[in-house]
Parts: sequence; C-alpha cells; structure tokens
Amino acid sequence: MIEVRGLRKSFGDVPVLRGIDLVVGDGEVVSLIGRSGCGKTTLLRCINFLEEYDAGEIRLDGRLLWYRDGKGARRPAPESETRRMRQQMGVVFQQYNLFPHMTALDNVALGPRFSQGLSRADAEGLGERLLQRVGLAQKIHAYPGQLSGGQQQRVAIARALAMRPKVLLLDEITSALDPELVGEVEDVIRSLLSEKIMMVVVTHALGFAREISHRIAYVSDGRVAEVGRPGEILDAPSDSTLKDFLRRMR
Amino acid sequence: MTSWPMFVSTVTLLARGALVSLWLAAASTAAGTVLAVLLMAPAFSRIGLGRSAYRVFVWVVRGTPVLVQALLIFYALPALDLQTGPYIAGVIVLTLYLGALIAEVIRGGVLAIPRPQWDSARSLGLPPIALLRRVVAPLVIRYSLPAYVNVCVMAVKASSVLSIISVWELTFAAREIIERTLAVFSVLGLAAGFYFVMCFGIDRLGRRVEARLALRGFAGGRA
Repeated sequence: MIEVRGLRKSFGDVPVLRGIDLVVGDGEVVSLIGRSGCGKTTLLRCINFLEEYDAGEIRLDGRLLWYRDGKGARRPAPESETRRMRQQMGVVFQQYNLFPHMTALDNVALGPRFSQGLSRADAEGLGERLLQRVGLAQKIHAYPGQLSGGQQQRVAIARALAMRPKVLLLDEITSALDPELVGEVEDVIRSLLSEKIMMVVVTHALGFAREISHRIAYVSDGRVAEVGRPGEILDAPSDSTLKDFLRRMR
Repeated sequence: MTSWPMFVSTVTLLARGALVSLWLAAASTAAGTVLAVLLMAPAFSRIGLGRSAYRVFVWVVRGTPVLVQALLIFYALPALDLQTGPYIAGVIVLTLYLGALIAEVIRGGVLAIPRPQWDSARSLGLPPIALLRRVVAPLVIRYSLPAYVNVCVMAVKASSVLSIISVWELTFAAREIIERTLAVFSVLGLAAGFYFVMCFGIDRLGRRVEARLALRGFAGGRA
C-alpha cells in the first residue's frame, strides 16, 4: 500500500503540489488525470523521489520513504536506503529513457545485476523471460536506436518489471508514441493486471484509464480534486473543473 | 641543404625529434587524462569549496600561456630542491595543461548526458560504482571523444613549447640544425611536415575509434 499525505512541493515560488493526499491499496491500479501542468507527473516523480518535496510524507507498506523525521527539521534518508527503496518501484517514462549504449537485454538486466546483486546469468535469464513476455524475444540483442518507439517502451516496461517492484509508476507512457504503436504498449500493461501489482498511472488516455483503473484521481491545481471509480469520475463528475476538463478531452 | 647526405642526416635527426615529441605528447596526455578524471571529484563535488578549487585550477591553467607555465615550472622545480631535469619538468607542464583541458572536455561530456538518463539510472537504484561504470562512463566517452581527440592533437603541437626549457624534441632539433646549416625554410618546412603527419594520424585514429563506438541505430558517428 502506498500512502501519500499532505504532499507539498514548489518549483521556486511556484507551488506545484499543494497538499496531495492519495492512497493506493495493494493490487490497486490508480490513474491520475488532469490538465497538463496540474502536478500529476510531479506527484509521480515525488513518489520515486526523482523530485524532492517540501512537506508531507509518502509511505510504502507503512514505511516512511525518502525522509527521516529529525528533531525539528526533517532530513533525507541516506543514499543507500534511498537506493533500496527505489528498487521496490519500477518507473516507466514518457520518453522510454533506455540506455542507448546497451542492448535491450543489457538494459533489462542492468538493475537486477548491479542493484540487486544477481549473477550475470540469472539477470540475463530474467531479462530474456521479461523481454519474451513483452513480445520482444526476437529483439533481445537490438540496441534502442534499432527499435521502434513502441518496442523501446516495451523494453522499458520489462526493465521496470525486472526489479520485481511492489509498485509500477507509469508516466504518460504512450504520449510520445505514434498512434499505431499505442496499442502494443497498452496490451503489455493489460497483461500485467492479472498480477495484482500496484500501479500509479499518469495518463491522458481516458478510455485506457477507465479500462485498467480501479480508481481514477483527478488532479487539479496541485490537489486531488476528486477521486473515485472510473464510472464516477468520467461519467458523473461533480467537480466543475473536472466537468470542463472532460468536455475538452472529448 | 645542398647535398644528399646532409638531407638524410637532417631528416633522420628530425624524425628522432618527432619521436621524442610524440612520446612527450603521449605520456602527458595519458597522465593528463588520469588527472582530469581525478579532477571530476572536486568538479562535481557537493562541497562548494571543491568546485571552486576546480574552477580556479582551470582558470589559471587555461588563462596563462603554456610557454610561461613551462618556464615557471622549469625554474620552480629546482628552487623547490627537486632535481628533475627538463624532460620530467616538460611532462609535468604538459600534464597540468592537458589535464585542465581534458577535465573540461569530460565535464562537458557529463553535462551532455540528458536528464532522463539520470532519472532512469536513479530509478533503478544503481549503486555509485555501477552507475559510473555502466552508464556514465560509456556515455561520456561517446559524447566527449571528438573534443578529446582535438586535445590530443593539441598535445603534439604544445610539446614544441618545451624546446624553450631545453627539452630536445622536434622543434629543438630543427633549431639546432638551422643554427648549423642556416637553411631556415627547408628545415622548418620539414619539421612542420612531421608535426602535420603526427596530428593527421591522431585525427584519423580518433575517427576510427569514434566509428567503432558509434551508437548502433543512432544518427551521428558517420560524419
């Protein structure tokens, strides 16, 4: 379970998150929707501590992440602890972010091998299985530059899964893709639903969000303005800005 | 140069000088590269003092002529009771000079790594050594190789400055021959030819390494 309480963050003088509260239960898929600039991607990055935040707390299975409560001022957790905690999460980015100098297999095996200390053979075995799973068994020795956007993103999903994470954080993973490549990436995510892995999904694809999510959270102006089942949020919204947002998305 | 034997002896002498120049450049580039890598610790230090010290070093070395640096170190070493002789002093001069230049090349390479790559590496929780070895170093080498080759070429040419502190290398040899023969233009022309061949060779070698390291499937690397 992930609990986010009272999360606040500013970039300089500009407040981006103004007190986010969000709980993601075990096995739950929660999508974050909202206008661009509303803070949903920043929230996702904060959950993985790719961004520092100014106030509030994030817990994974009850354990406080990223910061330690000090007397008076809080301080960041030590690097080694931060690394361990990050390994319990898999992040997939909008722009895939594969390492361009490594083959698909090396990209996937990197984390297990060097962060989690698997032997090279075990890490590569795991990598091969995962690449097979995302439909890229033929491409394990291809470099990212030799793959289509959809294929790169599937490698990126395999790379995130290779850490055997408790939670997957997906940041607009189909936004950079050509329309005809969106389906193959969405299919991979669909195939993960049966595994009951927690997911936090930032997306603009409302149809996809409706299909995969247990709940949808509408983020507006740095707060979770409304949260509920997909039907409640997408078909019977009560927040006026959400109504407006949905009208524009049609 | 009026006779054939004289021409042969001139070319032989210059070739020996060229070898010394090449050796000086190679030794200083190697040592300078090591120095530059070590300098990355203060350059990217979290402590402000480290970064300041790095900047001052680069400013001083880049902001003063190698010729002056050479004289300074040549006279300073004996004053510090270090009896090194011109060759060691020369290598020290070039090492400091090239170290500062290469450090800036490497720093540029590190800064060229796109932020999303760092995000990826961080989200995988890679420990520092693995991060450096598997992600940062391979990318930095690719980004900074053209500029690095440029410094290597400069190293060969910069070594000519060491003739001023009585290091016997290509330029020194040329001046020696000129003093004896007074054939200023032909000897200097030959010496320039030797420099050109060395620099051209390094350039070609660099291109070959670049082509080998070119990221497969990516544009570039075919320039």
